[in-house]
Amino acid sequence: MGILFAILASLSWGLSGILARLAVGSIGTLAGTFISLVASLAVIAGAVLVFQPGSFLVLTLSAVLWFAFIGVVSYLPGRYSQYKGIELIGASRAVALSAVGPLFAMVVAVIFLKEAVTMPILVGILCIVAGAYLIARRT
Amino acid sequence: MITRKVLLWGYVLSVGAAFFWGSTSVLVRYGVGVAHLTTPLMGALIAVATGTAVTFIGVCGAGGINVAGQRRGVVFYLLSGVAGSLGVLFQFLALSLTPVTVASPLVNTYPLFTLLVAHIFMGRRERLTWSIIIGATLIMLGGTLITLG
Repeated sequence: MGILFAILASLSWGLSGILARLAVGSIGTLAGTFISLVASLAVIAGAVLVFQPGSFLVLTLSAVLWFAFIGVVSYLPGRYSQYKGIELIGASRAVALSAVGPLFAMVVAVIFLKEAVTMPILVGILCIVAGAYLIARRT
Repeated sequence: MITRKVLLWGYVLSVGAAFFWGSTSVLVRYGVGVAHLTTPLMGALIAVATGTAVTFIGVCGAGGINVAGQRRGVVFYLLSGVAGSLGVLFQFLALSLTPVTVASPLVNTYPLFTLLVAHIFMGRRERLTWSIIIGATLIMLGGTLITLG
């Protein structure tokens, strides 16, 4: 069942990029980002009610402030940049390039959480850099 | 005709999106530990609600949304948002039922799915080259190695 959900996650994200490709250029990117976030809000609110209905009761102020901060510095610019990128260079390139996220996650984790860099991580970095170069080079 | 400047901006913004998504996972991990949030979905809800509210302010400041005659764009943006958040939920469920060594490589295949569908249904607008296919595969592999490493 877990494997099925993993495949569904991949399909959903892949499809999200395609749907964005069909949407971009119609209304402004910021307006599109807002519409898309409203839809996400509805889905996640529904999921909270179904899977974790009591989670409102255990919220702390620090948790609310921290995740509100993440929403402003991360969700909004992340989705806006993704849609604008898709508009400018197409879904294939933009989605592939935006998949280099683990590289930045690793850099941030090493700097701020003092996590160790292992050999598989180094090989992963090389793969991502080479992949990004291949996508960005003019053919 | 796509100019060099447009291409460059497209690359910068796409990698920028990756930076924001990548940072999010670390910020969430940090937040779950420091802010003692035991319900990650609730965290996602707070983050998306705040992001939506701030975007709404930005949209109002930019003159609002004119959706007249733009039904197609509105519908596809809505569907894109639904698909994106369903991806997060499915990943959440996958990781709660399967080891990360199994779930992560599968979840990271999403750029290949985008390439395939874009090529099949938007072949004229989405030109697919071997460079893009190999590049996306390398990024997928690298992302998986970093996640598991």
